[in-house]
Amino acid sequence: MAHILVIARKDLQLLLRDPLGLFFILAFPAIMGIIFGAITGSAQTDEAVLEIAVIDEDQSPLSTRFITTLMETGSIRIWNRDAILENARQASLDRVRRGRLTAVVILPAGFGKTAGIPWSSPAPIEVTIDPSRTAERGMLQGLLVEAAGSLVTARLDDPDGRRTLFSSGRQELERNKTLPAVTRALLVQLLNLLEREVERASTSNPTAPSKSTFSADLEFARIEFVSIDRQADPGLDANWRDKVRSRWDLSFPQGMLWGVLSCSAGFAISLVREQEQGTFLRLQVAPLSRFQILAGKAAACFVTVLFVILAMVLLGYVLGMRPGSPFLLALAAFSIACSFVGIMLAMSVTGRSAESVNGAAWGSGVLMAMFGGGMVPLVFMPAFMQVLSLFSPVRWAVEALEGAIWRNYSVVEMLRPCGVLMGIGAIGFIIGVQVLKRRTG
Amino acid sequence: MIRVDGLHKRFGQTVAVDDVSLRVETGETFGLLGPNGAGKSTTLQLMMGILTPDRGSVTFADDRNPRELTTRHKLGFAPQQLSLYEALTGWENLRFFSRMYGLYGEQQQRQMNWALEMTGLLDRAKDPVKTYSGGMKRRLNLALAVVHDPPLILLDEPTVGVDPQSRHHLFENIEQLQDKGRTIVYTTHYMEAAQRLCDRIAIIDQGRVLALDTVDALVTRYGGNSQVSVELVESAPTPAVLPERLSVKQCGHALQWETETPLAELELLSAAAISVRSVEITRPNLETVFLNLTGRKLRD
Repeated sequence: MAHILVIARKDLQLLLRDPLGLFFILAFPAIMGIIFGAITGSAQTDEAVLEIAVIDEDQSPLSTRFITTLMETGSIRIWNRDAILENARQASLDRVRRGRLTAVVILPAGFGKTAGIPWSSPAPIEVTIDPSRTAERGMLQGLLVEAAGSLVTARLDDPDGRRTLFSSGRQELERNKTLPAVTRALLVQLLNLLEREVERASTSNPTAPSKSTFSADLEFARIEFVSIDRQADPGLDANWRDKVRSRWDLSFPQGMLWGVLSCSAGFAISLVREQEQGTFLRLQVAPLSRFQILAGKAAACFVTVLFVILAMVLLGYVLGMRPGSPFLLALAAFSIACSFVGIMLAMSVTGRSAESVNGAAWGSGVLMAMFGGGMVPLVFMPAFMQVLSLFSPVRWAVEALEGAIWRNYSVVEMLRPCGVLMGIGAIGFIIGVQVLKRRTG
Repeated sequence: MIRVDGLHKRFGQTVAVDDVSLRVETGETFGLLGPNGAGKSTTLQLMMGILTPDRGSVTFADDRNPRELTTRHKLGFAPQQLSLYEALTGWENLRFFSRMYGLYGEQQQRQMNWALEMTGLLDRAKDPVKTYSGGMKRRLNLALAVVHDPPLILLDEPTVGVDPQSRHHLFENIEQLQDKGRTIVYTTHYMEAAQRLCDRIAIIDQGRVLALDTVDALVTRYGGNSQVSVELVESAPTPAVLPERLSVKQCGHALQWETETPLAELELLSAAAISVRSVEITRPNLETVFLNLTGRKLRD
């Protein structure tokens, strides 16, 4: 055991004297974690608003209400809200063309006449969107539908609007000759009944004139976005911390994995470098078993992987990350260390020179990260890649870390990713030892 | 100390070691002399148990196998390739390898100081090895092999690629180890090193031992005659005083012949009052032994 520890200490000493190696093992994952976190976080903050221009050619109270509703969603910033433009339409379209705005929304003249009347044919809203921002098209469409829906409420809140709404409904029914007379009469009666009920409700609630009386009843659909983030620590009163915490919760497992991959590649190279520079031969002559030599190398890699994860957890903690279960996090870290030590040993025998092992280690590392969700979260991957990810240790490592940090896995649920990682580690260890044994006689 | 019997090792189609048998006695310095690629290093690695022979055996004193850990405790090895951690200091390299041999505490400090002092590296011990000269690295390579004071030391081309001054220093280090009674197996392709340091030498080429004996015996048996070159004061026909059995070559004032008894023939010239400007006698050595055995020079 003493020999193993001495070899491990020597390897850690060598690592400490290698600034580039240290950068890839410690600084690189921190940078990755922070970059991923910043990207994830910006998608959750109000910085992710769509900046658009709205050309109001109608200038009616309802078109104004439509624009106000859009702004109140918090997801849209109207560029020309305070600007007086002489040639607003052309200027806005030019900005879209140059990529300065996501879209231009044009409310045509006559928009207010039919807006908010569900049974009328509405004036079309013209939307011109930057072709490179088609990902936001759906979001914009949803916000426009939501604002249009709010106009129904606006009409019901206003006595004149109510009268227009129901009388136009009755006229529409009268004009429709395709309906059987009995059905038409029933629908008119239903409309009259609805009008009376709405009128009664509006006069019985005069205490809250500023609040819409019908908003809850007339929503087209109630959509609630449920966050996967854990509930905030009740002891923390600053709301922004909740968002920051979830940001690092999501990004740091990825960052940690980059550090672990760097460790694995670094130690794989160091083993073949020992063979190249002859120190491995000297160790072979020493009164040591081959197992002790490899175990020493593995122990150094194991300690470094644990250190990288610990350092990342501490950095994440400073930024606001709060692992759900320290015990499960320790279990995840242990499994990941076992797994990547085995992978390191297997990678170290892929070539006979440091250059070839370096290429193989980094190449396979990038592939493992790519398919395992180390670059792009698994949820954004197509189905076949999600299936392929099952073969990537990175996928299981990310799952184990996420399970411990924010997925609130139980011990039983953790057994699957941790078990797979340990299995991968055992296979890698056996491959590495056997090939090295054959190669070194 | 070591008994090697019928050792054979093949790498693919290449026979690296072919039926090598030899004995190394306790306290002697045994040389393996041969050109690059002769099979010296492979023989050494087979002797240490790093490589497994296809045939044959290696036995240490008390019938021990070189792969046994107890046997390895008694071995010190300086590989031909500099086997050092360049990012560590000389001291750290010594500390690491001495611990591999179970040295700790005061004994370790004492042995490290001794090894550093012997190799003249004590004042540079705290510097990273990457700042050392080639000669210093060679000396540290030797220090790492002997830090645990093993009774058997195997040195694979320990002076290759160093300047004459460093080589001389290394020779002195090895002579100190000889004075301590250590058994040394020394591979080299330098005739001077073998002649200076080795008690017995095995001349090896293409994996086979061609001859094995003391230096003098090898020279006597395979070295051939001494070569005599004489420059006369005046041009003259081949002096009749020289025995007819000698095939004397003459070119102007210069005479040249091979003989077992150079001094006797020079006396004959002197007795005949033939004035001689200069005389050069080249004695046979290991280079000529190798040339006579293989038809090639050691460094071909």
